[in-house]
Amino acid sequence: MPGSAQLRSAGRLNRFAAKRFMSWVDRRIPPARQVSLHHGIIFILPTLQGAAFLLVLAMMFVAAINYESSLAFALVFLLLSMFLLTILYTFRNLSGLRLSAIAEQPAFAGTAASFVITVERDSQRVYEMVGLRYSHSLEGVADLIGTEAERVTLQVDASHRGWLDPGRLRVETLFPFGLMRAWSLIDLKVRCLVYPRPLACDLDWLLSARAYSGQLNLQTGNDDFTGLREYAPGDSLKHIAWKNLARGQGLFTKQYSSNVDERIWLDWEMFPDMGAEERLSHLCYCVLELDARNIDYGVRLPGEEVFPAKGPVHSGKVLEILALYRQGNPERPDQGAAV
Amino acid sequence: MSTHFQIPRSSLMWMLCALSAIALPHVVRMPFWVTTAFVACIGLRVLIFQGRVSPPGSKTRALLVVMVLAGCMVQYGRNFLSTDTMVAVLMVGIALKLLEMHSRRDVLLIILLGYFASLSEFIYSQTIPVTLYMLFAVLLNTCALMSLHQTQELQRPMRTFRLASLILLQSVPLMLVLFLLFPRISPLWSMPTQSASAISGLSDSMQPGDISNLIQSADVAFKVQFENDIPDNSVLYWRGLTLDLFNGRTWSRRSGRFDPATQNLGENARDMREWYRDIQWLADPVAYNVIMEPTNQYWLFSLKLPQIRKNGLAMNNQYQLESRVPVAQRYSYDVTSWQGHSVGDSLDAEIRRISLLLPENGNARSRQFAEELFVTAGSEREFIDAVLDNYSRQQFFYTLTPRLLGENSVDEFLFESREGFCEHYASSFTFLMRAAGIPARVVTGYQGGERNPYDGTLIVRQFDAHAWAEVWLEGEGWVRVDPTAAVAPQRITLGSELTYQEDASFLREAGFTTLLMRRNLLFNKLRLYIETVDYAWVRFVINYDQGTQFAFFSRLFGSVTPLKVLATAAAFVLVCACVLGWVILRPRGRKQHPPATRCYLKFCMLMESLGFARRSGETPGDFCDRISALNPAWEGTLRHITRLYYELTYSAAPAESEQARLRLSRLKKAVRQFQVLK
Repeated sequence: MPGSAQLRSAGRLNRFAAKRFMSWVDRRIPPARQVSLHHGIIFILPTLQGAAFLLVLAMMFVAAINYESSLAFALVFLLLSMFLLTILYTFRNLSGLRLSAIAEQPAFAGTAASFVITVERDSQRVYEMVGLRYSHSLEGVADLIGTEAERVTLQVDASHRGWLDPGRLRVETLFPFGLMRAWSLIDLKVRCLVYPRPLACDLDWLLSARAYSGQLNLQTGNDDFTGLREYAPGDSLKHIAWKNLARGQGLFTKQYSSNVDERIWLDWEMFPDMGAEERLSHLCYCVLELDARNIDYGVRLPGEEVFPAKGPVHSGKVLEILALYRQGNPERPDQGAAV
Repeated sequence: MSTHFQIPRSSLMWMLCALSAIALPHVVRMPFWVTTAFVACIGLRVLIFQGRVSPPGSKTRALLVVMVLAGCMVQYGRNFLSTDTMVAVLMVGIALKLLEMHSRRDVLLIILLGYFASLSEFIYSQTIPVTLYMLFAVLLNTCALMSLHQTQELQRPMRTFRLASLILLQSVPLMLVLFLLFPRISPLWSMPTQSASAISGLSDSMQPGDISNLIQSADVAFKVQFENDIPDNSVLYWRGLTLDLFNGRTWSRRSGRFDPATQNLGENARDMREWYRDIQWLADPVAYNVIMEPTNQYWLFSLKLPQIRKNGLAMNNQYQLESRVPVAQRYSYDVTSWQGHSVGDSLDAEIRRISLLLPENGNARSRQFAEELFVTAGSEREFIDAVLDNYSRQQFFYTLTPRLLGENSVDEFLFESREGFCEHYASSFTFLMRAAGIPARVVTGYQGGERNPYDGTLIVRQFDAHAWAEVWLEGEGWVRVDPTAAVAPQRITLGSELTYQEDASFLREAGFTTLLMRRNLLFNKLRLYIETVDYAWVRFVINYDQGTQFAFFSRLFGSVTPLKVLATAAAFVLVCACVLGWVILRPRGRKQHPPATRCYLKFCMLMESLGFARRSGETPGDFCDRISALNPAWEGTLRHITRLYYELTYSAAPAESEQARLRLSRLKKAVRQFQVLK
């Protein structure tokens, strides 16, 4: 069908043009953690409203000619030169801004990843209505009228696990009259780590139904106090001997004896007959559960192993491994490639 | 995307202010119901915004539009396509659009229409106060446009106003360049005329009392700029109309306009009539430019005998200057009048017949008097002298408020009341001439004028209106005779003001301030100065048309070629752009780091150039540790620098203290040494 062929070729042309444009932008505006906007990287073009403004000016010009009114000419010329000045003013509203990204917090797949951009200025110039957005986020607005710096949070949906690259940040402004649009596409080298979406499973049943190295017992917290040991980073704050610390004796962790080995290994093979992503999701849920119950846990994946421990650093490390596990897994080839 | 767009409060406020300001000057000429509709729409809009009223539906709006159009049709009738109607429709259209603002686009449309509407005032009036006011209205509209693109919660009216004013001010230089250099194009099509409104001034008929009515007004009739010196007062008879028909009381013209000899009697007249070709331009040319206030009439004023060069003017065989279209706006024209001229020896038969016509009956005594006097006098000249003598010897009075006259106005004036104004004298004189068989006619116009010492212009006002007569003498042509000069010669020599000022009815309707201004020397100077400014404004700004522009260019460049104009324009625009670019884009008040930080940053840049960049978020201490681990040789220097920086930044000692200064100098020295090292 000729129609669809044209559509296809138009689509292909668009994509080709977009790709060429993006590669040109990549060369011109290289990625950096901190970007200062200057004339080399700011684009500026009239908006649709600007075109309408010029159209009205043209009509006014015709009226001035026909009524032979000198002052009507003067008014048309005044508005025309105001339009030309708008170019400078809209450009000025971006030039000199410094943007940087703050370290990103990881997010879970299925939720929104937050990117916090800091917008700063170097001079006393006032910046108004500066819009920031990623291609898949809503627009955030920054105004530097009385303040030196402002933070804008942009949220992008995290659909897949792995590294989420939100793409180039579009900094745009229409100030002051909406007749011109100045924008820039900058890359702040931000990526957000997206953990797999936790999928609930019956952890107790899982752990009790299998026999692994070490007894699996989920008794928590109701053991006898056996003694103190030196505080090791990662120990739960609930077990710190505060009284001793208050007495100036140093930082110690209370130990409880139990005659069971509370180390738990989470294993890839715990979820047979499931796809890789599903397994990872279940594992993620397990990690969160165990972390909440303050139990040591380790993880064993094909090609990866993490010795049991507990605490926020450990859980972070484990979740990262789960997130980045085999990007481009052969079972689900289209997933896992973070865009 | 929400379909309902609620306009922010501040933007709405700016927009309503701007529209009110733009519409205000039109109130005086728009019908009452248009103004009411406009105000109602604005009020309604405020209520809608407050949520007290729901916006009208599409059917209601359509009904309103139909009503408005119908109203305009009823109001203007035949003149439906005139400028006034279009302006009224535009105003009401904008007001109705106010009720229908659903999206950002609607708001923008109203603002753009506001700009268009602000143009409409300049069609009617271009005085300096109006210009300044419309500039202010445009500024308000610009504030509305800006307010739409500012964050609602953070905007302040003063800030918006200041920035908008600044931007418009900075637009002025470029506007001046374009105004001076952009070529003026002739109208593409003719515009519908304005509906005729009553304007005071000379009319095309004269009856006793008409001219004295004009004495009460101090309005400017026209201003004249002579190329050389202003001639003597006795020469300044500004011919307006010749009136031929007399019905015993009123002098009037033949109905309709005279057939103009040809449309343009310039040097390139294609089709000159005989009587024009017979004119010989002999001596004493006086060149001048007249700027006339609108009269909505066709006739123009000039000294005798005018030779015109401008298109759109015509002269008829009564030597009356006329314009092709009614003078509805201030009108400027250049004339050269030749006082020494000859119009040939023979008078056209038809004109002779008209110029001798008297009504069948009435004023019998005057006719008899004329015949008797003519018999006594030997020649026509002597007859004229005798009549004038009669005026001066027979105790005639020249007064602004003569007694009312009845049917036989001439008889009553000549033999009973003997008091009158210039129209009485002119009327009676012409009657007597005709009764004696000498072709004569009444001429109305202006005489004299006020000389403005600042710019050498002549200001002619309504109270300079005058009526005199012309008689045809064999061998001399039409000769002017002013009977008023026989009775009150000071009217001609001293001018109207000094002659009338004792009379109570002079300037009765002119208003208190004008009178005050004339008596007080200081105020008078101020008044004349304002007249000068106004004249210059009209002459050089309002009348900046093709002709003026070409003359200006010629003086500037010598020969005018498009290339020169373009080059000049480009040069000016470039200069403007550079200056404005610098003004707008220069950095304002660089944020200053404290000296210690600056020094440390310099050190960091140095490190970066060596390949050891400090990571964002990495503290100086961490940075120092990391680099020391990589390059143990530098550890000592690095720690020294870092320690100094920390002490300077975080210690309690103030920056001006001796200790701080010492540390700073040490820090600088350390960094410099490091720089030298690598």
